[in-house]
Amino acid sequence: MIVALVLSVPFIYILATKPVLRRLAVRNAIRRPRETMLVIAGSLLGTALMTASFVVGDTLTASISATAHTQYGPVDEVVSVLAPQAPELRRRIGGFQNSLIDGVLPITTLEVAAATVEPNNIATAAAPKAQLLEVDFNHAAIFGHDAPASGLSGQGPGAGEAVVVEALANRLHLHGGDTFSVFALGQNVRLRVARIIPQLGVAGFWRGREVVSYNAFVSPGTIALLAAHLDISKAGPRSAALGELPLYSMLISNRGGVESGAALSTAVVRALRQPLAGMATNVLPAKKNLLDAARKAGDGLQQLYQTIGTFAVFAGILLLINIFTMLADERKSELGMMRAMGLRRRSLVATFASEGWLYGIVACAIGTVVGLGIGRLVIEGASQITASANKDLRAPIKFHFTPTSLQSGFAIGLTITIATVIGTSISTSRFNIISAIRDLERSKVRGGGVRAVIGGVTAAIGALLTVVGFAAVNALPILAGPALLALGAATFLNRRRSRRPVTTVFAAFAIAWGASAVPIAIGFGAEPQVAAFLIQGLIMVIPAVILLSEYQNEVGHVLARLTGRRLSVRLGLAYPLARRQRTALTLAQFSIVVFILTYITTLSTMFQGQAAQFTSDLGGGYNVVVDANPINVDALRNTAGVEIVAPLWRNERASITPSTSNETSEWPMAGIDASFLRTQPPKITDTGSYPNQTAVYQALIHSDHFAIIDDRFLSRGGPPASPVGIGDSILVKDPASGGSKRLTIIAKASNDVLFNGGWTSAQAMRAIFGVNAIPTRAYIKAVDPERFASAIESSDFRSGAQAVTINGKVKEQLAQQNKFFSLIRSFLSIGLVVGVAGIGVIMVRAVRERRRQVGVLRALGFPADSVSNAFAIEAGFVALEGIFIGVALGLISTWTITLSDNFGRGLTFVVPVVALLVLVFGTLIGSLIATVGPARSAAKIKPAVALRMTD
Amino acid sequence: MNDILVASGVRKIYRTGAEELVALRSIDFRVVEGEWVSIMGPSGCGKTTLLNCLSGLDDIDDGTVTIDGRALHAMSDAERTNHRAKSMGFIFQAYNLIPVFNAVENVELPLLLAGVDAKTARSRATETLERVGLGSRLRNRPTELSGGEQQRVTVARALAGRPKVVWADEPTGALDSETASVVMDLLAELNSQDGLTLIVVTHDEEVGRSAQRLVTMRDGTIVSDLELSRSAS
Repeated sequence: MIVALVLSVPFIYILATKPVLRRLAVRNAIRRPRETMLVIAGSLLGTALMTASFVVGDTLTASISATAHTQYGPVDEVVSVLAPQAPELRRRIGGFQNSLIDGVLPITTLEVAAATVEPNNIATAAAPKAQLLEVDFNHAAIFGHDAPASGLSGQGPGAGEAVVVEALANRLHLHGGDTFSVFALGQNVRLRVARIIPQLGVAGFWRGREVVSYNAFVSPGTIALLAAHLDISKAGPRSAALGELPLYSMLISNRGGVESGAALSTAVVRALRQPLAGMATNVLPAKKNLLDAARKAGDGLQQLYQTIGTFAVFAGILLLINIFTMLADERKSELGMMRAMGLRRRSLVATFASEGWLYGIVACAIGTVVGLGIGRLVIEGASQITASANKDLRAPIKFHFTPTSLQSGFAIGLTITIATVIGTSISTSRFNIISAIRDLERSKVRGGGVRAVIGGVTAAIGALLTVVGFAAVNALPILAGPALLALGAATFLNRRRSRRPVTTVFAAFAIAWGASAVPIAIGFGAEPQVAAFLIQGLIMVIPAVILLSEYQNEVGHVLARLTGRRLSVRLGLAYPLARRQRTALTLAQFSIVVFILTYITTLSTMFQGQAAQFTSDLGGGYNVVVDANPINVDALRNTAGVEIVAPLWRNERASITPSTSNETSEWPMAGIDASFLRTQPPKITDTGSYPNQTAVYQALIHSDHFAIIDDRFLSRGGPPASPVGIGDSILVKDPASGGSKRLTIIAKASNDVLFNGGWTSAQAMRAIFGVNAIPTRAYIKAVDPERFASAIESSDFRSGAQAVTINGKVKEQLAQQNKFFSLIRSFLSIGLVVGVAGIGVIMVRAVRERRRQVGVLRALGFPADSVSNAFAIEAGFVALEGIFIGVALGLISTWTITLSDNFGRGLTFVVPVVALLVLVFGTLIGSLIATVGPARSAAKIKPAVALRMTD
Repeated sequence: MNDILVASGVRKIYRTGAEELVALRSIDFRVVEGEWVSIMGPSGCGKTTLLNCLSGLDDIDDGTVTIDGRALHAMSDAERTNHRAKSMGFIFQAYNLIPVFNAVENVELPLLLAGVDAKTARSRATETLERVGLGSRLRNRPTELSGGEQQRVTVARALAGRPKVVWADEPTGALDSETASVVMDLLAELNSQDGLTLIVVTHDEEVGRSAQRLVTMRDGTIVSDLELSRSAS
């Protein structure tokens, strides 16, 4: 905002202190209200898209942050231990007092399966993953000194009773007084619903990754009763086989509100180190982690939309340049007269830029409001996608925005507008006064020396970026460097005689580099960032437009010949062919947006066609995944139709600190043993220093020091971008026992659609998680996967078994991915609106600019409908060329991706014919519709009036 | 000789909001085929308006205009446009060439509009440009030509379609006297050799007196109509 204000100061000063310049700027701005509206419409979209990106980020952050209220409330940190350490934990921090905290609350939890079971032992409703909690309700009500945030009040449950959280009640169709059963540790207990409470604060306290808390609060002693048959003090493999053991925790509330309190977490964790010294436990800053993740996810999505929106913003900038160049051309005579009368060039720039600033202020204000609307639509689309996903894992999306976001959208839009307007004003102010007064064609501006310097500097920057890019293995400079080098070299070498060959060679090189650079950069180990695709688009589209502009005459000749040299065609082509700079700007407007739309559409289609390949990569020889607490391997092996069962020792909330940063995240880890290799295991996509996939798996299962990850490991929001790679290490900790182990990443696996987390060995999991390292997931090879999956859920509800077929999961994931791509496409389509609106604006101005010429043509006998046809042909020609460049380059880029061993592995190039036809014809028809108005008004021009007009 | 143009009771009123400005007050006017008529008068007297109304470029509020036996303002816009393409040529003070077309493309324009095939149109345009002395400037765009050359292209454009009537509005207004003289000699030659009917609006007395007839206007009316001897030029 400060930048926008600082940039605005000179304009405010000019308008306030220079009456002549103010009069010129203001009167020109209001002279033709209809056209002023078009200029504003063309300028506001950049601001709108930026604002929309911020609003999308705000909404995601707020939606995830809402979980802080529904699952934590006053709870900021959690310290958990197993039963044997519970008295010691209570002794050490039960009465912990510190100026940073305002409460400590003991709580006991146990993961269970819950079901509404009929007398005939058939479950009518089940919650495979639920949680029993024991807490002192009176203590909980005043915990954190924020009764409404706590979520618990009133009387606690009596013996045999449960206070049930809404989510569980809804899942099991429970009402007050109903009964239900819980299953855990090989036991079950029947409970009566005392009352149902909302999911809020301590009432929603949940240890899993889900955002829905299937909680039931029970009377003290209930959990102990379920575990009574176990000798908890000697908990070992026998008890582990029955499921995860109860956890005894101390919940700590920091001072401050639900979200503000989390800011003290780092200090509180530090303060708790001393009283907990020597204990095998870990302080988990649970709420801070959640809020950090929310911000990260929000920022990631905001950046994704911003980067994608930049394509449209770029188109908007070109439109703005075009509009102001046309404005300057139209006012050439009057500007020339003013210069002749003594107006200095600086003042001319000031007047013109001030007029642009006025447009910009209005456009950005409207754009901010429009951006809110676009953001709302994107959120609506995103809500529909998440509605079809696993609702338990995704926070419900609720539209939200902050004033800062609106300010930022406005400021970015205004800054872009001002910078564009100033640049264009300076450029258009360089004219010959006499030529301008006599309304002659703009003569070529001298400045070969300046161009050579600019070319040299650009080439030097390009060379530097190339070196830095490859040295730092960063995709952005790798992409941009050689292209800038080529552009700079072409500018430097361009001389009148050699212009065409020089332009052709360097532009062709830049296009070829743009097409192949992303796979090359990834091949060198660079991360595929979203911004890389923006740069790729620019370094292909700009040279392609330059190249086409160089050969426009040839294109024109061919088209004129093909159409039998019809006069309206010749006239329609004559202007775009003659005004190459203007045509090039319009072409680029279309090309850049059509490029990325083609790219995304093709990529999306290619992914959709890979379901079988992805299923095979993800499952290997397995076809079903079962989650249960615990997995009963023997029972599964004995189930009809099951050929192979491989247990996974999986923990959903391991604390992981990568060697590349100090940031600790919660992420699942899964351990395997030799049984996993009885059939083809999931595909290893990068075997690192190992010769093949088998060697990788053998090394993994026979050691407790190794891990395999995928590209999404520890990444949140935006595209997959793991902070660690092969050769790096991760410190894996059990937040409950404090057990930990450093694991080295030896390979990368296929995308972790099933969310196993990092792979390691079963022995490593036991070393870290001790008795709570139990098999909770199994990979199954079944004869009839669909049948097995549906059968196992209904028959094994006591262990909370949930089964999915790998093929079904892949299809679900691809369907969601497709919806996400559609959403991105819709957002990008706004860029096409810029292009189409641009054509409309340009045609309106073209009609005004050519009134006199149209008058002459009409006087000479050119029929009215031929005039309108010529304008339509002109618009259609420019739009088609832009579409052609965008589609061709988009297809070439996606094709080169399939050639890449890394990123495009397994992808088959497919041309989405129907989708592209819709894109091509939709854009073309849109452009023609935008031309209808100006073309009709051109046809209505009366020759005598036009010839008399000087304006 | 036949009358090629007959105007009777032509009135033209410009309306701006509530205001009305009578530009032509019941003009009666005849031109014989092959005649060169100059129209002179002070600024704002209605010369250009008369030219526009008589050529069909502008509508009239009252009266009739007949060209070559056809009532101009009874035609539809499309018919009038077609009629202009086939039987009229125009020369304007500001040249009004199409800037994105080169000289030969500008000149062939009315031929193509009149339905002449592209090859014939190109050859006739080239021929006409050679006749006005621009045979070596066929491929030059207007911006690459001098004012005199541009006006000669305009003359060539007006003549290429072999029209019956050529209308010229201040044809030498933007030219220096030497270039103006070249252009006027060219028009005189075309009038005398080809029998071209020429109606010229001008401020230039010398140009006005080059004609066979000099019509003088004031306040929207014709105040004098004099037969001139060609030797006067």
